[in-house]
Amino acid sequence: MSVTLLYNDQIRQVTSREVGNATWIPAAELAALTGFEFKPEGACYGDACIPLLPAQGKAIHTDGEVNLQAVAAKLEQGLVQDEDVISLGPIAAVRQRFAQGQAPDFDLVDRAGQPVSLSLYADKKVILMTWASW
Amino acid sequence: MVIGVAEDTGGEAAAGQFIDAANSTYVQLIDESHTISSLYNLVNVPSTVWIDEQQQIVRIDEGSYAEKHEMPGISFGRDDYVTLVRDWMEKGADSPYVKDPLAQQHLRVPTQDEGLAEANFKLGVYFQQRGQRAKATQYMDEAGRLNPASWNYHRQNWIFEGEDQARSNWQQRVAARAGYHYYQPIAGVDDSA
Repeated sequence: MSVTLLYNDQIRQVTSREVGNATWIPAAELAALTGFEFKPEGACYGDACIPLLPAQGKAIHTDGEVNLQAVAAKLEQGLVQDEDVISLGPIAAVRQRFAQGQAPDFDLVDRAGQPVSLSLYADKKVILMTWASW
Repeated sequence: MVIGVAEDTGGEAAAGQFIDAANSTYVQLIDESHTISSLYNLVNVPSTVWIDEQQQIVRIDEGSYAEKHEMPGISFGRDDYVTLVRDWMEKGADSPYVKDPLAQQHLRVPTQDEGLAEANFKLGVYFQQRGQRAKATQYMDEAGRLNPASWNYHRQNWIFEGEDQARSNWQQRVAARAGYHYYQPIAGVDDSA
């Protein structure tokens, strides 16, 4: 089995194991997608960890796999599923830095295929301006 | 440094011709999954974020037009926007236009409904880009229901309906939301219908 995960601008197909309504995927895949890793301290994003109780921990993370729905609930992350496509919303703990005024970095590519990140322009003033054709 | 970002699920086919016509010297990106609007809590275009040398956000504006626009029942933008930007370029943190309390309202974690709306919208984008119109509309409708303030969601959802229908939808929705802000408010601009 496999599922397609959507998060930010990423689309990632990962192997999965369905148990009832739960979708278990390799923890490394989730880490690659969202940056969250599972450590003895809990679910960690960089240095910041959300502690997990032992009983809670096993339902969320065991033997190198994570339960996507349980992780999302723990991280207060919106999750919407349509058959084998699962879309993951923002993680409040990650957006906290934005709430404190730090500009979130992004990885997009320009029309020539060159990667563009905000961090390329540290030490400059940046005007980031959205528009649309619609 | 100016970075222009097209919030267009249609990608190059939708936005490319406008970028060609603008013939700009600054960085132009096409953001097919509205990543920038998500990351910066933006609900409409054109929106502008001012980011200083420490990569701190000092101002966020929605409705950042270069001039004031008047339409029946609604007006938005201001004539002096470029002056504001130039003032910040010269004076930095001493510019009176940074750290505006109204603009700082954007700096918050999304609510649970907004987060779920975003997950629905991204799923809608996924299906829209694969030509699955029914599913795209289903999830974009749900996104708009959960976060009715996002014009990005509504208007991106209407691209299947053609320009005339989209304009009519927009006019109806503006009228139905009389008294609400079409753009989140910025100092000195009253766009309430």
